[in-house]
Amino acid sequence: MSWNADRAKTRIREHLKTVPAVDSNIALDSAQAQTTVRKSGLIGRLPIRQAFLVEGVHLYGQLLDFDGLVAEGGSETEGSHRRLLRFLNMHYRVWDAVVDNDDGDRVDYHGARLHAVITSPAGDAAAQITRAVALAGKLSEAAERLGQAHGFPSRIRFGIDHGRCLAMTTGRSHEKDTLFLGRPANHAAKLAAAEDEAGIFLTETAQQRARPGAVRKSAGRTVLDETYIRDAVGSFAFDSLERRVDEVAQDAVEPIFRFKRPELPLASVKFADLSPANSVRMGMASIFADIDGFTDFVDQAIEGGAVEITKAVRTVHVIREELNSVLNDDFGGKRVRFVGDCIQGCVAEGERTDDGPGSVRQAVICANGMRSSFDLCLDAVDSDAAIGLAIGVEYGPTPMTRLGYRGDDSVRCAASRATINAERTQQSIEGSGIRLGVVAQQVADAAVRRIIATGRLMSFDTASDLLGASQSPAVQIMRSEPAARSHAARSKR
Amino acid sequence: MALDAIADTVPPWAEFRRIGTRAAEVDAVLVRSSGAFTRLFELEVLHLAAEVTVYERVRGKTLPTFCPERHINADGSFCLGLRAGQGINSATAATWWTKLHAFLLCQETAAEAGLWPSGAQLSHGDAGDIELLAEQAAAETGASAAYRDAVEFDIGPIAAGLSRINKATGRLRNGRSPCLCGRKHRTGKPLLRRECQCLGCPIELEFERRAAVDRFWRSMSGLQCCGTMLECRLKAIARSS
Repeated sequence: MSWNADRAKTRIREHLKTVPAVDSNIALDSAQAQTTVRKSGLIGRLPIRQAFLVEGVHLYGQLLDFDGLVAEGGSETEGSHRRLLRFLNMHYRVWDAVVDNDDGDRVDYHGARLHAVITSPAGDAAAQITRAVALAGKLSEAAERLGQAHGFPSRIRFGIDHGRCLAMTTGRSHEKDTLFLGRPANHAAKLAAAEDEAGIFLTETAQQRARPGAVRKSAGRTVLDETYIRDAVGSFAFDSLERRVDEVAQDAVEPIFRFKRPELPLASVKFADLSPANSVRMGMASIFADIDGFTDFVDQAIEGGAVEITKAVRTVHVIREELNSVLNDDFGGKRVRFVGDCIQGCVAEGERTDDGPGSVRQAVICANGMRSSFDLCLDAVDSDAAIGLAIGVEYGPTPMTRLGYRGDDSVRCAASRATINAERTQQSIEGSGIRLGVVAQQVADAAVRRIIATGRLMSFDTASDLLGASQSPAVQIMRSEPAARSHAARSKR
Repeated sequence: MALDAIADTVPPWAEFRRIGTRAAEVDAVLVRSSGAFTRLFELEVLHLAAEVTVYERVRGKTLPTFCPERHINADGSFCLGLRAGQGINSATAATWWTKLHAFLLCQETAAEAGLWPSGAQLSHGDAGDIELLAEQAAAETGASAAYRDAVEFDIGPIAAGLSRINKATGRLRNGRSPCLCGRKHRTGKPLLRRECQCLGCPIELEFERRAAVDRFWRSMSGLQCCGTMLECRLKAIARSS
C-alpha cells in the first residue's frame, strides 16, 4: 500500500475524461436544467456526469443528541452502536418520506445531518424559504414524536440559507454521491452545526430574502417569528411525511444490527453487501478531508459564468475522484461518502485484532499521499485557485452499514465517536494542514506524533521518510547500512 | 587512491567527473519513495590529507552553508556518517556512495519538513561514539527499541531511568538494586546496577551521550542558525544570548 507519482498522474488523466458536462447556458438557470433537478426527488437521483446550477433553499438539520448516544457509560460498545444506528435509521426512514412528493424537495444525509434542497416554487425565494421553514417545523415535530415513542432524545437544530449552488452527481449504485457546492450549502451547514440550541435558524441572506415579518429581534438577536413558523407549518401538507411518522412511531419491530469484523483491506468492503443484519465493525481511523477555500472559489465561478463554472467543476471533480483513488487504491481505505467538497473515509489495520497505532499511521501516510495527489491535480487542471487541503483523523471502534428505507437508495453510514471527531478535528484546522483527534493522538506512535506536531501536510515522500515507511529508499538504506547515519562532527573553526 | 575507488563505483543516480588528482565533481538526482525525482545536487568531492570530503559546489545554492541538524559542518562539508570519509578504498567506496545517497535523500526531507528522519542520524560530535556503545549495550539487554525511543523521542524506560542517575557521578543510584535496564545474569537473575556499570549500562551511557551532545552545542555557540530546521539548539542559543 503506497502512493506512486506516475500512477497518480495516470489516474488523474483518466479522471479528466469523466468530468461532468456543463451546459453552456448553465449560468442562465436554464428552465430545462431546473426541471430536471426538480423532478429528481432524491439528491442521488440527479443525472450522473452533468453539472447544474441550482437556485433554491438549503436546509440542514443536525440531530443534537447524536453525540450522547455514541457511548454507554463513556465507552463505545456494540450495544451503544446498535442503539446509535437504530436512532439514525428511525430518522432516515422519516426523512426519506420528504422526497415522496412532486414538489422538488430533495434530501441527503451524512451521519446525524440531514440536507434538503427546496427549489419550488421556482423563482420565489421567500416562498421557498417558507416551505423550508415548514419542512423544518414538521421534522422537529416528527423527531419529538418519534423520540417519545422509541425512547430517544431527538432535538434538532436547523440552518437555512438561500442562493445558487453547483450540483453534480458522480459514482455508481451504492457508491454514488451528489455535491452541492457554494455558499448557501456551506453557510446553512455551518449554521446548523454552530451551537447546541435546537430550533430553526436563518442565515443573514435568508433573513433578507424571507417574507416580511418572518424574523424579529429578540434579546438582541434576530429570530424567526413563532407566528410565521406556525403559519408556514400549517400551510404545507407534507402528507407522505405525516404518514411515515405515524408508521415509524408505531413500529413494534426494529431492525436488528449484527456486526462482524470485516476482512482487510477495508476497500474490499462493498456497501452493496451491507445491511443492518450484515454490518461490519472494528477499530478504524476515520479520515475527513476538506478542500479549504473551495466555497469561495465556487462562488466566484458562479459569478463568473459558464467558463469559470466549467473550470470549477473540472477542479472539484478531479480532486475528489483522485482523493478517493488515493484512499481506496493506494491505502486500502473505504470511502463512506463525499460530503460537499469533503471526503469521509476510513482505514484500518489489524487482521485479527484492532491495530490502533498502525491504523493511525496508515491514515497519516494516506493523508500525505492525498496532499501529493492534490498538488498533481492542481497542476493537471492548471488551476491557480487559492485552495488547500485540511484533514482530520480520529481513531475508534466504528460500525459501517447501510440504513434507511429505500433499497438501492439506502444510506451508506459509518457512525461513531471517531467519525464525528474526525470531522470536528478537520473543522478546527485554520486553513490547510492535518490534525489528529484526542484518541488518535493518544494511540499514535512517537514518529507520527512528531510530524503531526508540525500541523502541516507534507509530500508523501517526506512523510514516508519521517515515518520510517518500508518503501522509503532512505529507510531501506538505514536498515541495510546503519553506518550511513549522518553525523555532524565537531566545529572546524 | 580514494578518488579512483570512488570513480570505479559510481552508482546510476550520479555523474562523476574527475577534475584533478584530488578533486572531482558529482551531479546527483535520486529517486524518492513515490518514484519522483529529487532536485539536482551539484557537489564537489575533495581528497585532502587522509579524508574524502563532499561539499555543495556553489555553497548555499540548495543546501545551507552550515547546519548541524542537517549534518553540514561549519566548513560546508557533509557529514555522511561517523568517519565516513576515512579509509576509502575499493572495498569501502560503494558504501561511501550509499552514505551519500542516504544523506541527499534526507536533505530533501529536511528541506520540506524541517525535520531529519528518525533513525537516519547519529548524535553530534563525540556523542556519536557513545551512542554506538549504548546501542550495543541495549541490544545485549534486548532494549534496542527502548534505546531508540530514548534517543529520538525522550520516551520509554531508558529515558525514564535517567531520573535515577546521580548527576555528579553519572551512575545510577542504589548500586545494589537490580539494574533498571533489565540486564540479567546467564542464570536469569537480574544484574545489580553496580555490576551493570562495568558492562556499560544503556541508561548510564545515555546520560553520558546527552552530556556530550550538550558539549557539542556549547562548542557551536556564536555560529549562525540557518533557520531551516524546526528543532535546533542554535536557535535557542541565539534567542538566549
